[in-house]
Amino acid sequence: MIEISKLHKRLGNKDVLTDINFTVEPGRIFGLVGENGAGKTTLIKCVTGVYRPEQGAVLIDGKNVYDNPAVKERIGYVADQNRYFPSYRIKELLSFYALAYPRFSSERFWELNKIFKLPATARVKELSKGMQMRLTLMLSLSIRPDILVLDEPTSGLDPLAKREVINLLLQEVESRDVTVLISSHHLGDLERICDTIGIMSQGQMKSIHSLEEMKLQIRKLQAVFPQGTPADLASWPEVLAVEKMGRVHYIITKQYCADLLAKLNQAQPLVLEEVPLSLEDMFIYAAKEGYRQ
Amino acid sequence: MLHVDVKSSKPIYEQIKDQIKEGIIKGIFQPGDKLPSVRELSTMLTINPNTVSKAYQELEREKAIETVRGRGTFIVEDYRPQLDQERLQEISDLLRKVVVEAHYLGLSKQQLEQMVDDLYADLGGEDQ
Repeated sequence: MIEISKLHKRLGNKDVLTDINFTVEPGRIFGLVGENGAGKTTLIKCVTGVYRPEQGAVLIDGKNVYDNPAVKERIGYVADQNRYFPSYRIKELLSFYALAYPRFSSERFWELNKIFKLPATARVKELSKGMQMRLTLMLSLSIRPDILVLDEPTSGLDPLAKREVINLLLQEVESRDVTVLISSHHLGDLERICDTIGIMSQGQMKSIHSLEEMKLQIRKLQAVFPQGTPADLASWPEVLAVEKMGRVHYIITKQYCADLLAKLNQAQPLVLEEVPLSLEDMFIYAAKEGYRQ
Repeated sequence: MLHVDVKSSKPIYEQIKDQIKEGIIKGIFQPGDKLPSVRELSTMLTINPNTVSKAYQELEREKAIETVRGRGTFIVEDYRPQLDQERLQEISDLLRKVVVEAHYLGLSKQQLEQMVDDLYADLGGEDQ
């Protein structure tokens, strides 16, 4: 389990993280989204014990991560840029991992490699970006982690490899109740696999919702009001945003409920229907809302 | 035959639940048929295993499927679909759209009723 409370982090003279609080239970997948520079990677580096938190606590199963090798050896960390010794061959890297992680199993690595088929004698520098990502993931899974932290694991992968990587993750969650923290810009990937989504912006966690909750609350309606649009529509508490295209209003809700529908129906709309909304759209609207506050 | 529409406002577990129930009613799933395991389905659809578990748990509560320890998950012998209010409203909304659409196309009520009868015939009997 990952528990983060009141976490602050400064880098240089900039507050990169402000008052971050959240928990990830075992067997759950927490997805981290946010624009570039929102603080996702800094947060991940605090969770993996690379950075020392300024204030607040980062606990893995109740223990501090920073400077704590006993906890760190249970964390599989797939960083956004992985720096292995470029001239190492894969099998040399395996012995290196076996030294660093007591629970490392090279059998597990070769079992995983039946899917990805990396040549054992290849040097790290000879591998493509996508292959290096697979290598990191396989190494991280071979330490039999209780916690998996992945920073943009699917970037630079072709669709087939991406699916294999995600399926591997899902299997770990299913079979070993691994706790997963994953960040990605590919919101389409996240919305299929995450239990909970945290939206970050400017160093703060703007919202934490289960995906089911988000789907129920944040919806997009299209409406035409021939009798005139309710004047204060955009400032209704249930409404996140309103867009107008010709005579059609697109209403993005943040609290979809029967009350809202009743209020809209009072204005006697000619059409009032729901249109599909992806997580990407939700993220964009939620981020815009964040800027307004 | 199961698929996931991430853009739908219906949560993924509910989509799976509804598709399995629909499959039972259409006879795609027969009593005693084995469903994929949580792990298999999660990999097949690339979705969270917790989502699959939740769908299966609810289907079990509604007595559509049963899990036999060590053997797997199966369609029950005598599934009786229940009507719930929310679904009823959904169906009524869908029907309204179809009726309006049909009206604009110039279809008569009789023609529409004939189409409904044909659909029931395809499903195999009105009592289903």
